[in-house]
Amino acid sequence: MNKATPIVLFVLVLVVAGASFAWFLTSPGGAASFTQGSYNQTKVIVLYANANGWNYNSTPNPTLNEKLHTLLAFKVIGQDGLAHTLTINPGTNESSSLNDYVVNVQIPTTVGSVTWVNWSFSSPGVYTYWCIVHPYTMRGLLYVNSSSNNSSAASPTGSGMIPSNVPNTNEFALISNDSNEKIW
Amino acid sequence: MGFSFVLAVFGSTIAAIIAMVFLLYYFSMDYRRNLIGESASSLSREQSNLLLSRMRREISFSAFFMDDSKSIGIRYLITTVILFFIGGLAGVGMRISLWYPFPTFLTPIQYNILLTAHGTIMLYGFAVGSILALGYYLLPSANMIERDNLGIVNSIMYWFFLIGSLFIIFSRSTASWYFYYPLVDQLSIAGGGSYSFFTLIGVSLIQVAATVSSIIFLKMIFLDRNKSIPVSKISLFSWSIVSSAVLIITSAPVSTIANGYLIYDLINPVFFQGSSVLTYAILFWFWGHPLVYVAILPAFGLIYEMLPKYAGVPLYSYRAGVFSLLLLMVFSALVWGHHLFNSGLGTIWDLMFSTTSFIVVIPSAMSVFNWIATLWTARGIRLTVPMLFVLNGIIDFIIGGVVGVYSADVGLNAFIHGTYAITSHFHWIFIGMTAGMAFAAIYVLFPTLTGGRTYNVPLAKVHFYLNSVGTILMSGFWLVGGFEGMPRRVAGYFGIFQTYQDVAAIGGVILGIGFLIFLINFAYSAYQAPVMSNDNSLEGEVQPI
Amino acid sequence: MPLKNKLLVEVIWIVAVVAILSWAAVSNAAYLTSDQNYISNPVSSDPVGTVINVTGYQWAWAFQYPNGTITTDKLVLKANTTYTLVVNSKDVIHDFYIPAFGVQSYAVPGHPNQVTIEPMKAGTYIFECVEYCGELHYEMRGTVVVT
Repeated sequence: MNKATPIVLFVLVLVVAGASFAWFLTSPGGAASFTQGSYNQTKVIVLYANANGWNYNSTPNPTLNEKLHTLLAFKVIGQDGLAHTLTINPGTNESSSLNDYVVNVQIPTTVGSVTWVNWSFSSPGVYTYWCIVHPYTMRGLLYVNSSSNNSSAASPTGSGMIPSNVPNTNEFALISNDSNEKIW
Repeated sequence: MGFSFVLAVFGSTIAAIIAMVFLLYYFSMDYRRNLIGESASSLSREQSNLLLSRMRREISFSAFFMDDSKSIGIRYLITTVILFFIGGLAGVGMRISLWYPFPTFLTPIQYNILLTAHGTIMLYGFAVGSILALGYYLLPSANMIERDNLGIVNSIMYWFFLIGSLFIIFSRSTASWYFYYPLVDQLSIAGGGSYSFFTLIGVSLIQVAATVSSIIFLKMIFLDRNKSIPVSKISLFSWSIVSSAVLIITSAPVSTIANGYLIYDLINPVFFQGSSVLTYAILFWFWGHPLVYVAILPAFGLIYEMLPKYAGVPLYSYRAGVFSLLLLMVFSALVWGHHLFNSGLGTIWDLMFSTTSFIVVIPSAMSVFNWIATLWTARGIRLTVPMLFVLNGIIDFIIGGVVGVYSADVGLNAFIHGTYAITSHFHWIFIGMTAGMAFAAIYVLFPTLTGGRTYNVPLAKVHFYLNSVGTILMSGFWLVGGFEGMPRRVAGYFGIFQTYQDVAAIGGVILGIGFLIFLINFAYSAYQAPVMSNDNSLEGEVQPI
Repeated sequence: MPLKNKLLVEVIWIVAVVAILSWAAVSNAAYLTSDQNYISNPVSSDPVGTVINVTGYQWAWAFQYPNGTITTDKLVLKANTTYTLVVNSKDVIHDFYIPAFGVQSYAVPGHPNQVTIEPMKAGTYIFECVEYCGELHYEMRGTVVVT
């Protein structure tokens, strides 16, 4: 047996195992093709994520009317500690195809966590906003109207593949606020 | 996010080019392989040291270019140890990630990738691969085979195995190790993984390699065996390989075909959508349950070989050992339905699979009693490191086996199916028996594998004790948590289970450190100067019991 | 003990194991034939008690009660009442499991199963999905409230 063989094997095992571990942890590839439209104003929309319906405690699943060329800043607040997503696709129904999703953002399962989802629509029409986990209850319509003021002139066209998603810092707090865990 | 066609086309093209270059290089080495084969046939029998049964192969990278059975064994040995460390690191990552009740260290997707990688690599890579390694390495000596004339087939099957393992690693599937039908065909990271079908191709390649190798094992044992060994004196390790080989040959092709259906269903869902999605589960477990017996039967054989050597007496009953191994082969092919008790197979099928699951305990118990009787009548047990692994394996098998009997009962099965009790059940057996016996065999073979070196005994004992303590902490606390309803395969869990998960995480890290110490011991000891002859008790004097 | 007579010892241990396992197998068969409703079976025409439709989908459970109400991730039951859960799935295979009642049933798309439960004590229990079903598999859990 060659004297270098054990050392080479030792290094080989460590390098291959470490490289495979790193490969497993890199998030899987592929990309959805969303293009964000240009905008000249910003509007904040507050949504409470509740398994019984968006904004269940005030007006459940409100129908939203927004203007084109507006940056819609969805402030999504987790209300019940369950898993939710904010998913938007064209049409009046939920789509089952991932390629149709304009926005698909996961909401953390911490009660009271705030997730900002910023998106500007590039074409007018009717959209459905819903939650993949609770499609029976959490769905509403969003109308994007092409209004008179068109100032698409010099504004930069963002081409972010995924909507910007700014989680609140308390998302990673180690104290669990999950409503399920409270009972237990 | 979804499946990218461009990436698939470019990736497969680049992989094909690399494979072509490699094959060109490989076949330019052809003359070296012919040299070995010719010298074996031309030399006279008295002079030849190249007779397969007397050949001693060390660990070296030139084994990848030689086609004799022992070199193939070395190839599988190197590959499976590397695969074991890849899968083990994934397991330790999962344990650490479960320290808190909700995902912190890993996102759910990363956790699922590690979960699938751990399962597929450990079962298809390590369990199947270590059987092939030990079979190719030990069978020629045990049956006094002069030479094998199907070396090129063995070699091709090895490359199938390696490419299959690489496919599994690169696919980053999230479909778990049994890839149930509707999930595996959801080609997104939230479903079965964007490239989960690469796992199907890789598993199929490994199954083909295992099937062909099993046929060659049967040929070695029954056709190439030296005429001086009658059937009544075939070694028990060979009998255990016979049982495994027959199980693989009868069940692996079924799963290979089912994988083909799954890949076709990606394009045009006619097979499983048209009938029932349970059809795939049934086809899978027809192979999936024999697979776990395939993984432990050679460990049975190794215990039968090693236990008498360190207990100082012959095995208590050779006859009971052979009966036990052959009965396990027959009955374990009939019990696969107990994985689907709660899926609505119907009461009659539940009753049948439950009863056969009870029957399969009988041959297992025969083996255990045989070992206990051997220890009972022993004179002067030598507690060497391999013997410690053997004793630990027997105890772990008894604990894990008793939990297995619980889950054979339909009523109790509804309590513990899908919980950590099941994970605990097969980790007792797999760590204690499959991995434990494979590493015990490596310790026994150490002087031969390294050309006359001996392993560092204190370090090896540290490896053993960390292994044993880690298993008890991890599997033991899983067992308690499982009886309280702690679910498997989850990236987060109810807060009431945190104690069990935390202790299991500590146990998992201890296990990982133990195997790291094995690796350090190997590198350190094999670097020293040779001190002894390169003979060992497993290959040495062929002594059928 | 010297263990001299090998054949006798072998016969003794085989007979002992067979005796224990036959007892286990017979009691299991008796349980299966007498309490068929308490294990998961394909849907039959005459379910016992109140029927609750349980639908699993990625990644939550929906419970539909006889009066048409739907709750998600929360099952509300009354104590000392017999219920039959009809478990079905919308997408992939799930497994509905209530540890405290020792009852579970696979949710197979296109192959509804039924299982009978009879909660005895009021309280709050947990339920889980125990068949791996994709990214948020661990979030398919919730509470059973027995009043």
